Amino acid sequence: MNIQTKRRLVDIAVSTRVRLARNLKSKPFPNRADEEALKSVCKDVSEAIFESNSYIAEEFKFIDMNAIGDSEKERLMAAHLISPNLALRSHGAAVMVNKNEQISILVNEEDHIRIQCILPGLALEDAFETANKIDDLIESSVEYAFDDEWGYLTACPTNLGTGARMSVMLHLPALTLTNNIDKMLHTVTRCGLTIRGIYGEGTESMGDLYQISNQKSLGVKEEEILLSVKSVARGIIKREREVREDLVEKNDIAIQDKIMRAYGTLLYAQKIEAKEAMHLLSVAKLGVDMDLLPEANIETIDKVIGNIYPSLLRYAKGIPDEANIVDIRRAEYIRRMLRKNDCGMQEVK
Amino acid sequence: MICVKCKKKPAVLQLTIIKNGQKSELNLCEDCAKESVINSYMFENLITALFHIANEDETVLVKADHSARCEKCGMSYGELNKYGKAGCDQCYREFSQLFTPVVKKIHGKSQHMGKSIHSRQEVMRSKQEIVILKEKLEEAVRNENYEKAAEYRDLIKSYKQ
Ligand SMILES: [Zn+2]
Ligand SMILES: [Zn+2]
Repeated sequence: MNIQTKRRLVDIAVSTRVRLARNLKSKPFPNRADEEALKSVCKDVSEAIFESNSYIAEEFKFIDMNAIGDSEKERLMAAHLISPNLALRSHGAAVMVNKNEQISILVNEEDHIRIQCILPGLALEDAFETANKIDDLIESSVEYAFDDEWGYLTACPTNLGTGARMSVMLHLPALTLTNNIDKMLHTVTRCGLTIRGIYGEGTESMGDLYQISNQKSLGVKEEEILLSVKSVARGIIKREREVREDLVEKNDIAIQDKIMRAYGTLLYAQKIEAKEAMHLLSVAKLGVDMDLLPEANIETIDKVIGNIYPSLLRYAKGIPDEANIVDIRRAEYIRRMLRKNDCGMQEVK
Repeated sequence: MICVKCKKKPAVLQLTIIKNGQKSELNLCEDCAKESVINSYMFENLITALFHIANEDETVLVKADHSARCEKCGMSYGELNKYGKAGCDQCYREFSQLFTPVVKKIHGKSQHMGKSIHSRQEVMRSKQEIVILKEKLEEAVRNENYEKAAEYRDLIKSYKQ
């Protein structure tokens, strides 16, 4: 495998996430627990980490959701370290995050404990191994709610059994552009997995980003879940790469036109909604990958994508951004970033 | 309220039986309700439906008792049925009748496989081994490999002892 294809592989698989849901036997689940019970859960879980003799203890910091402001919540959410659901909890919710911000332990979200590991690219084994280690560590000092038939007991019956959800986020602009996404969705569903666009509502996606994950967690071993998600992800990645290569080969003017126009819009738009911006940036990324936009820079585009997200917290709270002003500022920001990059390139030349 | 028949499980259904103009009421758990009066009727969602079953000479009205509660977390049958989420570990036991078909529908399976808590590891190992052996046994039978099937059957027996 040459460097080029390797880079593309990483590009398509954006990130991997493994989460394990656990509950303490001693207390009702967060939705039915009073403030005192929630606090006691926080205490038990944080002690399990911080009073362990493991090196892990020094890696983590404890963040009380009540002790941080909206901007920090926003940042943690954008980094996928906490969920909107946790951020919106009024009391007794906390998160423990490790130094490199790849592991987070959500306390009193829907379940008492959600151990989560997020890694860049396709890295299910590493992510699972890490989450599993944290699980062992916590279990050594608490008693989990567990049933011989239904496994780890979780608030929602969809998470029973292993309590595991393993997902891979994929960037699929070529499959989207060529109207092959529906076929893909079909395959994924047939394999017993689910696929959803980010921002969650059904399969609508933003910026051609899709998350595939296991649907079932009971009656299948962790390793089986891992393998099925991995093999389906690999299949989709392969397909996306094939379509991209095909697009390059065919030298299709209509597709090239779409890509160049997308970049043109980004360079000149005066106001732009997040959703449209995400889409155009996604198409531009594809253009860079296909060597159609020599003046564009992939790092800049990624940075812009990371910064133009609409406010996640406002989104979670159901408050619309002040659309017009935000759209104008967003367009300004994108223009400035992408053009700065142009200048930079010229200087280098 | 406890079921008048088995006197064990919480009564979640109120049956109003009208027979020859005489009205009587029975508070039953789901199991006993199914057994006694309406065993021939299949229904997935007992709670939201109000059954009007006309037998030859009697009418039975089945009404959910929304007040049946989990002792540990106070979750009522009605709330649970509405929100679909358990309030504590005990809910799964109290309302197993409600959860069993739901779990089966979601996961297609009813025996947990994979990691288990420390204190149950021994038990779980053999439980899960039996599940695997049973699958193998079925496959052997399907392939008409009766020798293998007998082997698996004996193994299962040894696990169950
Ligand atoms: Zn009964
Ligand atoms: Zn309960």
